[in-house]
Amino acid sequence: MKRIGRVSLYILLGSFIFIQFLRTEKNVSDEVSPFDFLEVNADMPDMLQASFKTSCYDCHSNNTNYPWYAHLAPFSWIIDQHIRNGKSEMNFAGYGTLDDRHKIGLLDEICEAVSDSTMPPQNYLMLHRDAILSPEDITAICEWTETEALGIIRKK
Amino acid sequence: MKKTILISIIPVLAIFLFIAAQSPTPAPVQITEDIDLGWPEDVMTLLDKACFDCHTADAGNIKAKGSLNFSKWEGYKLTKKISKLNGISEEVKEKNMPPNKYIKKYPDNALTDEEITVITSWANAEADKLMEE
Repeated sequence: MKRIGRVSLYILLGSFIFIQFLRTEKNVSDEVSPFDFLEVNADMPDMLQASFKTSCYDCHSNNTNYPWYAHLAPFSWIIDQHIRNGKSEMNFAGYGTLDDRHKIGLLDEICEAVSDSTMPPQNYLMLHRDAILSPEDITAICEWTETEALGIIRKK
Repeated sequence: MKKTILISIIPVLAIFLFIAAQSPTPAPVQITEDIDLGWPEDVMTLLDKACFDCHTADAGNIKAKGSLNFSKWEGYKLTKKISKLNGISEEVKEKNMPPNKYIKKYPDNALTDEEITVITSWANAEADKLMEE
């Protein structure tokens, strides 16, 4: 029984070391897209800009701020999968390329997702305490998205 | 020795299986209801067939109802209506909605490609109309 335990440990340790060699590409881009949500809305208050950066941009942009453990497999795989999912669902880098209808849709969905706590996801928040949005943050986000969406409608 | 290795692999496999486990989504309940929003009849027929079972007040699917509830449509503010129409168009076009699980259970409620076009072009036009008003 002792031996089984030890061999188990060796196999786990061996596979842990082995999987470190299976590298994945990191989501880091030097360029800032002129169509990026925060570029298009550069007049947004700094507090709000910071909220979007720390609470959304790790998975919904072309630039992830990686923690140290994100370089360790299998955590790196899980994190990469989350980022891929997040970006395929919505990427702030392309906001400026959307038509008005999609912009309004996205703005409303941002407010909805943060209000019902689907975003940021709970598992992300467990390891990123600074990404937690306070009720005041959420109110500020929703007031801003609503004003912005109404502004788009009025401009038409 | 061989046996030891074989038995040793089991806890490793168990850990991997645990990571791979995913939770299933609940099945919808079959309900019909009268909803009058002044939308074209052909569109209403399709929404009734493919959407209302889960996206109306009487439906048992809380998650579906929470994200879109046709019974509460009149209460949605302008931006919400445009957003939901946009969402309907996208989800139906990409065949995320109705969900595969639902279609498997109620094959008659599946949308044909023509029906998908009817819904998406209506939803897009309706959203554009709301933006103009």
